[in-house]
Amino acid sequence: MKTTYFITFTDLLTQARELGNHHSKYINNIEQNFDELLSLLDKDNLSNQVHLLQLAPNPLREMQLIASCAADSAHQRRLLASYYALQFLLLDLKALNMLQLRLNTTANRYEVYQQFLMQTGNDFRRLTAAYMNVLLDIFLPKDLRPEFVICGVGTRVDQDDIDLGIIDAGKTERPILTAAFGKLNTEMLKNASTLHFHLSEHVGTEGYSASIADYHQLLDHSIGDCVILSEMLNAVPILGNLDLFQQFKAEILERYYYHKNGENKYHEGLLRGLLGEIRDLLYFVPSETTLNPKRDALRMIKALLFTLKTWKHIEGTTSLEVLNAIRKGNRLRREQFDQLYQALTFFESFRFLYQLFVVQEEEIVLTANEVSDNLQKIAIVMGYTDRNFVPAYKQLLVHYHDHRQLACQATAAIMEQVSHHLSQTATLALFMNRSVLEKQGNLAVKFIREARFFQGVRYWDDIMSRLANPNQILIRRFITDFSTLSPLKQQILFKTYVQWGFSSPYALITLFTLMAHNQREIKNTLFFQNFLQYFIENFPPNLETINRLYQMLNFAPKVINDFLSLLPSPLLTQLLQILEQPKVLIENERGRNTFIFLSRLYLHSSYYFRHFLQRASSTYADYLLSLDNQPKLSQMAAGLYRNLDNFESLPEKLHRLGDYYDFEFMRAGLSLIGGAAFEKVNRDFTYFSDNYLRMLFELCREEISQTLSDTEFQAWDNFAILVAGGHARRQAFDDDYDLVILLDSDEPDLLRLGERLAQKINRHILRRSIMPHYRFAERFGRYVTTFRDLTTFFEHSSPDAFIEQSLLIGARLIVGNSPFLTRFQQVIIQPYIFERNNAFCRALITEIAMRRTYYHKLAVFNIKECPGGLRDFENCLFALLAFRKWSEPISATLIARLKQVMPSISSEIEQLWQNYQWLKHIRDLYRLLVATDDQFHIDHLGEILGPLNKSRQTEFGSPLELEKAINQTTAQNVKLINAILQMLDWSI
Amino acid sequence: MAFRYEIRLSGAGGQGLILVGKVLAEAAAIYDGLNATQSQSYGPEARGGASRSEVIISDTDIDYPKAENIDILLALTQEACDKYGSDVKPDGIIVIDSQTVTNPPAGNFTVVSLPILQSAVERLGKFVVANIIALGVIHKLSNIVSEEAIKSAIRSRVPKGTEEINLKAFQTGVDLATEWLKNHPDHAT
Repeated sequence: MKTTYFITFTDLLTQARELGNHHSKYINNIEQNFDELLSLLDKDNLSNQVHLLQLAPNPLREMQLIASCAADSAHQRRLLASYYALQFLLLDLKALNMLQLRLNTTANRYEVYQQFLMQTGNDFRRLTAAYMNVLLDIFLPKDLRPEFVICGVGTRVDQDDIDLGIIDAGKTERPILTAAFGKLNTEMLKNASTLHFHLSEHVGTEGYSASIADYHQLLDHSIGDCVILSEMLNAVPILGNLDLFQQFKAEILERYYYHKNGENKYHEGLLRGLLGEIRDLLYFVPSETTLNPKRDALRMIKALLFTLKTWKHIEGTTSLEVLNAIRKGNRLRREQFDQLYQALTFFESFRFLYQLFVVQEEEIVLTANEVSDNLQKIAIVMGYTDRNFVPAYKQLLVHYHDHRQLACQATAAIMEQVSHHLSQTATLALFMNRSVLEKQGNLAVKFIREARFFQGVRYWDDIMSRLANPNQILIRRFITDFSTLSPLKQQILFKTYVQWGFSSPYALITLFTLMAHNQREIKNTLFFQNFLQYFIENFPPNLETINRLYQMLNFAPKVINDFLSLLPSPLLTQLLQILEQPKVLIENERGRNTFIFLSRLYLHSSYYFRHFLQRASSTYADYLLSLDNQPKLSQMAAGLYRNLDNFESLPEKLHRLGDYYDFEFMRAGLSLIGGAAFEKVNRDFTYFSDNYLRMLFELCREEISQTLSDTEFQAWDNFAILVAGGHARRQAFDDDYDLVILLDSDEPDLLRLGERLAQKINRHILRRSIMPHYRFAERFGRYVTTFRDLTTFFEHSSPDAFIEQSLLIGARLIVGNSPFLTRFQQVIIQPYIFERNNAFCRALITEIAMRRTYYHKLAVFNIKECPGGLRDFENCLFALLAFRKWSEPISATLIARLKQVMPSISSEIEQLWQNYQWLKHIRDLYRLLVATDDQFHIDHLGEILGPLNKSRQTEFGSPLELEKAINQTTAQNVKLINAILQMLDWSI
Repeated sequence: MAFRYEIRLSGAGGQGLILVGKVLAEAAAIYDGLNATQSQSYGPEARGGASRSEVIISDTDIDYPKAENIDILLALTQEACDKYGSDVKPDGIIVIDSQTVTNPPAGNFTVVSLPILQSAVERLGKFVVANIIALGVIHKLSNIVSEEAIKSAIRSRVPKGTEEINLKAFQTGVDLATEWLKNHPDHAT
């Protein structure tokens, strides 16, 4: 007899006590029964045939010998339990010793882990199979046995439970089996590992076993649960009738494998189920305070291996065997399969050892006090050592996360391959193509009918890709067929689709967005609105479905963003109520927060801001996960701007420049809504807005220059671009661009060049939903304004020329050089504004007075035009500028200078400036959250209270309170402006 | 007369309900000499954070492994309560956490609402022992397995070094249930 391992009784128990507490039942059993077992074996001269302190090479034979020397059934079971306990502990201790030895002598850690797992798994299966075999002989003597076969299912590596599937020949003799397996189950729970009969919990109606007919009944007409299917596909007969197993394999298991040129409906269903599962796990965000190797990696890897096993007909009963077989035969994806191999052996070993040494639980809570000691123990056993002041367990934790990354990367790459295979073989896709070609029947009805077989699966990407095909024939046909059904039939179909969509919200939500993308007007139709409404109103507010929505943000942020942008306010409100309800305990807290944040933005923001949000989020959907992280958004924005140089073609650069503007606009908006300081948001906004305009000029100029000769090329020095209005004052969120394109020449060719430039610039600005305004274009009939145009205009001055004057005096140069600006000052500003400052100031004051007169007749509140409003302040400042003969935009610097040179009105200027900033802040928030309208609806002021209070550290509790404060401020402004003007001997 | 007692423990993944199931089954089978089966959530049920563990305890052979007439249901989340409440047999008991289950089901059963999660944090400073507090509650209300058996099973199932805190948690659960029984004398076991 081959001696494999020897240990003394005392050593065995001492070493076993080092393992987790759950080994105490084995230790107790040995302590209670060892002496009796030993003396009985001695008495029957069997001591030399039974290994008590050595690992038995043939445990079944030895158990049968032990059973033969016991007095009765209870005695047999007691002795067998003791022997099992001895062998079980020996098995684990030997495996641990071998692991240590190999880790110290072998360079490749993963190979060692693999050997460890395979050896331990094989030994454990042999031992438990022997034990169950002998116990079954006791509970169900062979001559009474009906036909059955016990199959091992599941992973067959772990020892915390043993997953079994029992196939019988039918109901008639099932009670005999049920009684025996009931006893076996209790005996195994007491003395070994718990048995789990998952297959029979799902298949059949009663007992621990089910017949092939039961499997047919459950699985013939719908795909069922892919997790149960994978368990089933892993079935290996342990004991019983092998012919019955072969029949089961041929009738049930075989159909889930891929058959070239054959029926693949079941294979397709399995793949859809598994791919859905894999994607959920791939984009699952692991908790920062717990580890769970099964959830974090093992399930995902094993599900992927199942797709490959059934696709490629790979032999192997454990995941490692399957993976090794694939690695050998797949050179193209060798790197990814090696990554999977490393991750699988790492996680499987980690989980096994944690359960061996600590507790048979999946979840490891990192905040528990004892966790570092426990993990240190595991780390040492796995070959880690304390190094450079870094304890072994910390290295292990880092590797844990690294291996998850490896597993995710490899899985994502291989999943694409499987997905491609699915798209090539899917019967559902072929059906859809055929439906279109045949032009018969209703596609929307036929699709959902065919999809019924696949109920519960979550992977429909291939079908959605077909619908999104550029030629869009399918989606058009789908919409037409669906929307032309009678309202009653539509209602029935809504219900069917929505039920289908609950298990796979991604598919249904994608379908909504594809429909809206294909036909923009559809979102306003009653049909589409009703469909959306049915979905939201019936959305099950449970953990599973809500978590799936949150997960979608990780893998399909664009789809989620597009979907939210489709929802009208009442449906968004309903969705938010579901998402925000406190009774749902959420794993992915971050995902939940981002989802809710985004939904709230769509619900509460103005159309004006939503345009930017929708565009930017759609283009840079991956950044949606960082929407509430301003520093990260800031870094991204900087990257987007720097990256513009890396694009080859000008159209691409221009396109990306627009995207950059949208993104920055969204970022600035989010910042202000988030309660950031008003000044900072203005600064950030001006920075990107100036960047945008300068780069836009450069790119448009470059595009035009490609058609010019060298001499013409130099003509650009005669051009300058000035911004006026809010952009000149470095203020955010203007809904227009006040531009002045100046040309210091009368050359017709240069004028034409300038016009081409302006037209290009206009086209691009308009795409950003901003209106470029050219005040002088209305005067002169073209975008480009020459110096001669201006001098002619001012020479024949009209009564409202002060508007053009104020525009120029407060303008800011964006594109152009210093000599140009100097000449502009000399030729235009000096003679036509400074030298006419009295008339200019009088015109401004008259304008203020006139507005005050007519404003009182309006029954509305307009923050810009009201007495003491934004325009009053700006006009007052223009008057002061002209008075001082200064030409520059209104800014904090200008205010400081004015206060310095006009000390007698410095406090009034300062107060006016503070009030102006506050009113402007309110206006900006109103623009982002309510509407781009200076005429306020007081009721809506409530929507801006939160960010305003946060930023200004105020405590306005209601719209009325804020309205009162606005009125007080504007009234104060009126007094301040009057006082300033009076002190300068101007009166209104 | 032979009895069959069905216990379902439900909540979210990570709440340690599988461990509680194992402790109960081993307490009954190993230490009290009863028959027991234990099963746990599987397949799609185990995904998305849901968790379920079932224990059937009997003084005779257990010939049917599925729990369908639940004697006592523990629900630590609203979702679990909504999902499994209807499986409780007439005159059965539903134990809910008063913090997370705010909408208890109505029916011909007794609802015992107790601050299980809150007690774990406030009385023992450890959220992770809430499962063992729940075990104490279940034990006291069901009275199907002896206290010593459960304590032995706890010692042999929890990680080394955590035996004391877990036994304290168990006692906390027993105390919570005792207090409840005192206030509801009709339901004394």
